[in-house]
Amino acid sequence: MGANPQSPLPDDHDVRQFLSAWDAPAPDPAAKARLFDALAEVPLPTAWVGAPPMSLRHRLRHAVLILRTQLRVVSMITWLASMLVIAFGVLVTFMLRDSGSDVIPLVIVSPIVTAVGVAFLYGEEVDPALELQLSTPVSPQLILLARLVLLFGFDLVLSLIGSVILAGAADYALDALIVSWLVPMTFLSAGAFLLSVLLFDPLQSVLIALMCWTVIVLRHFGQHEPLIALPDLLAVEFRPLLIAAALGLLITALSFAERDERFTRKDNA
Amino acid sequence: MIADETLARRIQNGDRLAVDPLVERHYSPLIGYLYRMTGGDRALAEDLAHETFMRAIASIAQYQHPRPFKAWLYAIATNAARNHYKSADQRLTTSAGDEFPEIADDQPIDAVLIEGEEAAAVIQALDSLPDHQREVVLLYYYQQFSMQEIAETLQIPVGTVKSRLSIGISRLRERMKAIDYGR
Repeated sequence: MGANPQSPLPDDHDVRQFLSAWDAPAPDPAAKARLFDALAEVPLPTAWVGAPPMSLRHRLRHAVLILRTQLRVVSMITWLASMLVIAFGVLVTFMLRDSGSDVIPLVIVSPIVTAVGVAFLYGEEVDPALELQLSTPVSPQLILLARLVLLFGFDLVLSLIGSVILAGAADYALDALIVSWLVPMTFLSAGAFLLSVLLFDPLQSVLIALMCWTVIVLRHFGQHEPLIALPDLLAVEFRPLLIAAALGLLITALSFAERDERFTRKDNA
Repeated sequence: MIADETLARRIQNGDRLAVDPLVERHYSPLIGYLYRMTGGDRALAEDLAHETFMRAIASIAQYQHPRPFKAWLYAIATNAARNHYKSADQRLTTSAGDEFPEIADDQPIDAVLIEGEEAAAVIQALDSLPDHQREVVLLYYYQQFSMQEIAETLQIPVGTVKSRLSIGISRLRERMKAIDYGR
């Protein structure tokens, strides 16, 4: 029994010495030979046992395939509603361009329409049967993330187009306009996503997200003193905090989105 | 020397030539571990080692590269020993003395007897430990495993390894004191 180089027990010399009195005998060569004979008969894997490492091209193709499958899952109404509401927001913003008001309708509608859509990405109506989900090799987190990317990306592109139009036609500063809706949109969507995962009820999630958004908007654009002492989350200095919070909410939501837990909860309900 | 993990990976790919060197390098130490796990039952230790290697190679697909192969192998061995006692419905009883130390031709008989007594005292002291403490003590002192390696082998936190080792040492010292060891 030799000295252990990683021993954190410097005063165990007596124990080492005591234990060293018991030596193990040398192995029996015949037993060893029998083992090697037996091992020669054990069938070995003939092919690579794990999944082969994917190339970048393969990964991209895999991601596109997941996005395409999830594109079919998201309701057409969600896409149409997003398009109509954002178009409406752009139109009203354009019409109010000379009103002198601080309120920019696009900044108000883009976040909430995305949050509402996101809340409906996860729920009984959207998800296929358990058997179908369990038969797929893709994790539920990845599936949800794909849906989120699709919907968020769709609304992002629409809002960007609307912002470009407004910047050209109504003299808005493009970068300032984009940031003013993008930050709350990210935060509110992540919040709605977490709510839908936790509550497994899109309607409740939408209601809570709407209430939160109403309070935030009123606090920012309200002309009078706020009824409750809330920070103005739409203020410029809160933007980094909102982005960080959105990231935290998203990670939390994905970590909770375990299919087993969800179905257990449903069964218990 | 080719790393255990590389050899295990080769076996996963169907390379039979990697089996012998991997088994060869772990055979004696594993027999030693199982010999002490069984309280000095050499035949049982060899049976369990046989079972361990057969299981390890047959289920090599379950080995996750690059996890330390040694920890994986000793986990199988530990489970094999535990299952043996569980299925046999027997706690490790002192087979101490079932096997006396082999006597070399040039060794004085008195020295052999003293060594035998000392070994029996160690076996009894180790046997007095609960299984979970004895496993940690054996891996640490006889197999020269680090705390981290023990933790990986037994699938327990390093902190638990430390506490089990510390309590195990205290109990061994109590036994040493009871037999007036070192006086």
